Amino acid sequence: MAYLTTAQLVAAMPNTTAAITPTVDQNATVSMADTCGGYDGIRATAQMPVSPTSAWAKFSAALTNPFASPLPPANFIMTGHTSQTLTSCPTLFGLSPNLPLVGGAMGTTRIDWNSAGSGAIIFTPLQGAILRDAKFVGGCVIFDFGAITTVVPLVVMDGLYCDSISCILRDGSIANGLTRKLNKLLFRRNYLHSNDRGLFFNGNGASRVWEQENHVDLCGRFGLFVGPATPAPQQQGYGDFLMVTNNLVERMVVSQSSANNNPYITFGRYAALLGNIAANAIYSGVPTQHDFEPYYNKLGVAALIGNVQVDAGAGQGMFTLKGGARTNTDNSAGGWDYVCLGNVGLKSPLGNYEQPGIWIQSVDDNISCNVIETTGNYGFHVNKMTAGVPEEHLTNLMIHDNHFISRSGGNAGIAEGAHKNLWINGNICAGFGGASQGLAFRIATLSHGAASNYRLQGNTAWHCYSSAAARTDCIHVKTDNATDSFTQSLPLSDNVLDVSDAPDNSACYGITFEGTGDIQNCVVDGNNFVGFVTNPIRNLNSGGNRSGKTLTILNNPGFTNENTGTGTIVVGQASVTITHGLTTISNMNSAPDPTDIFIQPTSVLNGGHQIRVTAITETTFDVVTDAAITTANFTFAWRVRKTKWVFD
Amino acid sequence: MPTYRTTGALVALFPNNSSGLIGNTVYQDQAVSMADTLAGYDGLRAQSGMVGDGVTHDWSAFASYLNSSQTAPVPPVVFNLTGAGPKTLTQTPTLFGAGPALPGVSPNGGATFDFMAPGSGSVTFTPTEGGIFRDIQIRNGRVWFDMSGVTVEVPIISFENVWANDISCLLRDGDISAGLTRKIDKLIFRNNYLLSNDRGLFLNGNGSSRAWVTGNHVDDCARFGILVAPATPDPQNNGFADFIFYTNNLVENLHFSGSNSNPIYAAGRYASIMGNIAANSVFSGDANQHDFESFYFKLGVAAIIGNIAVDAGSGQGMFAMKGIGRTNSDNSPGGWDYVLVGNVGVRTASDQYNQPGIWVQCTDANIGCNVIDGATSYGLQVNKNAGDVSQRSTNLMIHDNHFINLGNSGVLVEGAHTNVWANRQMITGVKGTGQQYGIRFSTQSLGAAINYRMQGNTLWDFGTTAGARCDCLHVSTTAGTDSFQGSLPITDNVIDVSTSPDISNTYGLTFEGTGDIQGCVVRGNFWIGFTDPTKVIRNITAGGNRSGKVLTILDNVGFANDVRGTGSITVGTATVTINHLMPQTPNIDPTPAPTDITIQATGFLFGATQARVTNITATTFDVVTDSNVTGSDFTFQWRCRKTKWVFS
Repeated sequence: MAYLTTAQLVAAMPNTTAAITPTVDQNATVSMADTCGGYDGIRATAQMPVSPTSAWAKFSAALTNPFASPLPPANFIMTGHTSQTLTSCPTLFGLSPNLPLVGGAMGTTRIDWNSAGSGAIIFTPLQGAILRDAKFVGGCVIFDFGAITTVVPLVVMDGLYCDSISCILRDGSIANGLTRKLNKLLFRRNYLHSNDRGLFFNGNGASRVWEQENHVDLCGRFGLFVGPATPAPQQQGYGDFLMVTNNLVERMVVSQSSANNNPYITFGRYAALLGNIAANAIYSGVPTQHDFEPYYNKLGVAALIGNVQVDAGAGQGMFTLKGGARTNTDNSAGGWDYVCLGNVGLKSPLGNYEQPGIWIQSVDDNISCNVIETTGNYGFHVNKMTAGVPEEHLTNLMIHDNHFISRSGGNAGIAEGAHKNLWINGNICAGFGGASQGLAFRIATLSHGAASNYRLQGNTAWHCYSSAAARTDCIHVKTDNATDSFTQSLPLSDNVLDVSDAPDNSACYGITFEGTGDIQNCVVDGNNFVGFVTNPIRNLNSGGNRSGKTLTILNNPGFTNENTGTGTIVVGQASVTITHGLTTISNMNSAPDPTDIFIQPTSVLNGGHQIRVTAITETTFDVVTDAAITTANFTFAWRVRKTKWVFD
Repeated sequence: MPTYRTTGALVALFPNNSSGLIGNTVYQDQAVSMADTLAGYDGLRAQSGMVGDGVTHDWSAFASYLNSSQTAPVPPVVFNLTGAGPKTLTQTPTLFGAGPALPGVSPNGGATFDFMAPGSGSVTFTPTEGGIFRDIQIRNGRVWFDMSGVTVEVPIISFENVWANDISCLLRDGDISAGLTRKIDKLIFRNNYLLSNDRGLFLNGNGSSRAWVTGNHVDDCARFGILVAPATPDPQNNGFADFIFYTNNLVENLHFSGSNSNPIYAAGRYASIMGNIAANSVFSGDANQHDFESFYFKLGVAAIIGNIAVDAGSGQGMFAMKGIGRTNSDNSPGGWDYVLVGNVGVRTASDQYNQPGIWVQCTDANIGCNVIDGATSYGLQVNKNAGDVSQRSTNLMIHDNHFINLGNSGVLVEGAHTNVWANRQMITGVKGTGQQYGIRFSTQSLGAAINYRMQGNTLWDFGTTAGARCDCLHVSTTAGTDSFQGSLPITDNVIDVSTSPDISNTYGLTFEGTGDIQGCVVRGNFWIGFTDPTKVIRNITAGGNRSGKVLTILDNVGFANDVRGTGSITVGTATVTINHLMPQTPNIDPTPAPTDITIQATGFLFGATQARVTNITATTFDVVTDSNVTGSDFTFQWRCRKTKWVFS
């Protein structure tokens, strides 16, 4: 490459007409110092010394002016730092990427606060800021938004390597009444290692967030957190437009003494969370520790797709779809229009925490094609919600085509409360049950009133772990209060319920109805009951508002509602008792109606002129003639098909 | 101005320069020379002689500098490009800013090219070679790159971290006449901020292959947010673009004025569109404005997953999958092998545009697990595509979607296609005062519709008011020669109108027209809230090609085709008339066949020897004996179960 001479350069830059050597014209628009500033701007403009001399005083003084400074691959130590409010923020960008184990031990540009373990705040930015390709070490919070009272237009953090600091970006305040504190956040390709918190942008949150390809490793509390204020974030403003993609949060150290730690927390509206991984939280010795969900969301209008978690948290769910206590039914953050699709959650044999699967506390959700593999906990849980909040009667939940797998018991799915339009369809659950009561799918009203238009269809429940005669209800329909009900429609159809390999299936039931609340329009159609040694359908309680209501049962292999046979009234007799063999249901009238029974003579009736059916019970009916048979036995074929059952 | 070091002091910081001179001649051979430093930081000025003081007109110097193969870092200064004119680049420089360029941070947004020509749509550059631009700002009018005059494929164009504000367009192509299959072989368009431009990325014309369009923010633009596509008006007929990635782009506040504006538009083959957000288009006063779909596609072999649309468009859909006008049945872009999964589209109460949900005009599409909330008209429409290859869209799976709070229709399938599923949708809150449909199949005079399914859907909370006609399920042959052939299962749907304010003109299942209907089975549906049994199932028009064809109806809740009762023939009579209670379906004969009726004696017959059924009408049948009954009344239970119905 042919270079210009300095003289030519000077000629090319008319403003730099002053002498180049030995000193620089400091008043020129373009000076040699500008030029040097390009490569080593922070030293050229801020005159910062490198380690072991503290650069803080020079750096702090320079921060009062706006400047864009490239950072050389040098080591700056900031001994003596103090908190500083930035009325104008620097643009600091390293000249090369910063990552460990490359570029020598230093990792190129390095800013060391020299305050190991310190949570002291360094900067409160009042303007937008850009930090790129630099390394921060040695304790401290770099940016804190606690005192922000005016929306900051932009913060960019790209390619940063933060090692053993308190937090790179934090906001702990909810008091300033802003709908958001940051208008745009670009947080990409950062490596946050052994920090107290990763990205902890709590408080009134940020809008327009790109949170991509970050690696958070060995942090103490929170991995990547962008959300409005706690404890009721959705009531305190919101953040719109969140894109969280391809981040990895691993080995978060969950402290027994701390509350609420999560690899991912995302609150706001209009969010896409795709392809993230949370893994291997470090056990603190309390298996039942709560509020450490790997993916904790309070979102409205959100797509959660293709995320993976493995042993990454504990509490209400690997994936939580929250929305509790929001005050508005619309335009408030949290709890509606979720797509939760294609996510995979695994509690491996090495995971010491209790890890249930998906926690649902929201409305209008499509939860599908997820794979949840856990141990001893539920696969999904629709929360009942607090009476009176909008989500108490969650509407329009589609839970379908998921895998819920357990290796040692637990419940595949529980829907508690009285909601509207709730589907549990097409799921595969395996390994549910255990040494105590187990459920595959449970819908329970929990004294919340009328549950409307529920569906349980097309599910396969298999490989029950029921042991020691533990009660296991593959499908459990329960009204907890006599005034609760399942109204409108309740199809329980096309399910395969297979307990054939349970270690002890003596207390395994296919479908259990419990309570005395009304049950309307329930149809049990096309299910396969496999491996049951007890009658697969039962009603635990008689009486109440369901008494007299019809239950339609048909076409279920393993449950005999249709049977055929032959019979004979012998010569000299006028009747014969037939055992029809229909399955009985406790606390339901299992006797067929007369028109459920069809008699087809297979011989000529001699002696009598008429035959009819009488004395129908839950186990038998009589075929009688109007006169004793003469000459030859009267033979017939019979068929019984009962489809309408009535609750006692 | 910052305080600068002296050159001597700077030299001391650079060991490589410590033995050199900083005089009038630059050491060209040193690993790090001042010339390197200059070129590194201020290459553009060093190489071009541009001033960059924001005042001096730098266009002439810049234009002279172009067409040289240079790699030029750009300092954070403002280049005044007043007087810029069109220029064809035989060689394109690589320009990269010495620091990020973004608003809201200091100083002045980094390296800036200012055309000083607000509102101008004039073309600046026509590239004939690849170009790379990174970390710069371009502002105030004009088009930066225009591909119209390109006649030879450009190998690569890369825009990264470019902030373009108040310009006409950063990259544009309005030409279709060059006969290329594509004009750019590879486009990298990442992390750019396009603010208040006339158009964002508008790579229309013969498009680009291998396009990474990721992480961009388009705000407040007037027409089009992000567009990579072959040529208009029939792009799929004019070459194609292969391999397109749109990921994590945010397009907001698009202003609609003229024709055809879309936040996100992609046309081509082999595309992945994931995690993008389109939001808050600005109302222009025409609520019915068309051709402003939020996500508009003409794609073949495409995955569209996890995208969000909120108040972002108007026209044929929040998500439009097009394919009309393609000339080949394969290997032409547009309209086949779509996956549209897990997207969320919302029209909030504050939005003033009419926004339908999903528009389908293609073949072989899997449309599942999407959430559409608040569409003003339909939730999803399959277009009829008269005369086009896709007139007979085949293999459309529309399943497991939410359609919530709609204006007047849930799913509309218009035309005569083959293999269309409308299965397992949850459709709630269809509101309006005009005619409404839950799910509609309509042939639109296009012939035979083959193998349609309408299964497992829940329709709930229909808000029809003022007696507006509402057909929850609608099957219509528009012409007498149209037909539904093969199979037409209408099964397992829950139709609940119990919360409707006015059901006086609401029907559960409506057949309309006189075209043939073959293989239709209506089974296992729940009709909830219908108080008039004649309005559950109806056929509006008698006669035509469907007359005499069988409709199978069985096991539905709310449609009483299986009725039981008791009767008696009193002593001294030989007959009794029974009202069999079959629903009086308009233009579908409700008369049971003799074998539909079962009589089971509950007492013996005296005085006669035989009882049988006769005089079966649409409403009654008679039970008669061969002689008058004597002794005691003849009592019996009857059952009428009619499963085969015939169109009148």
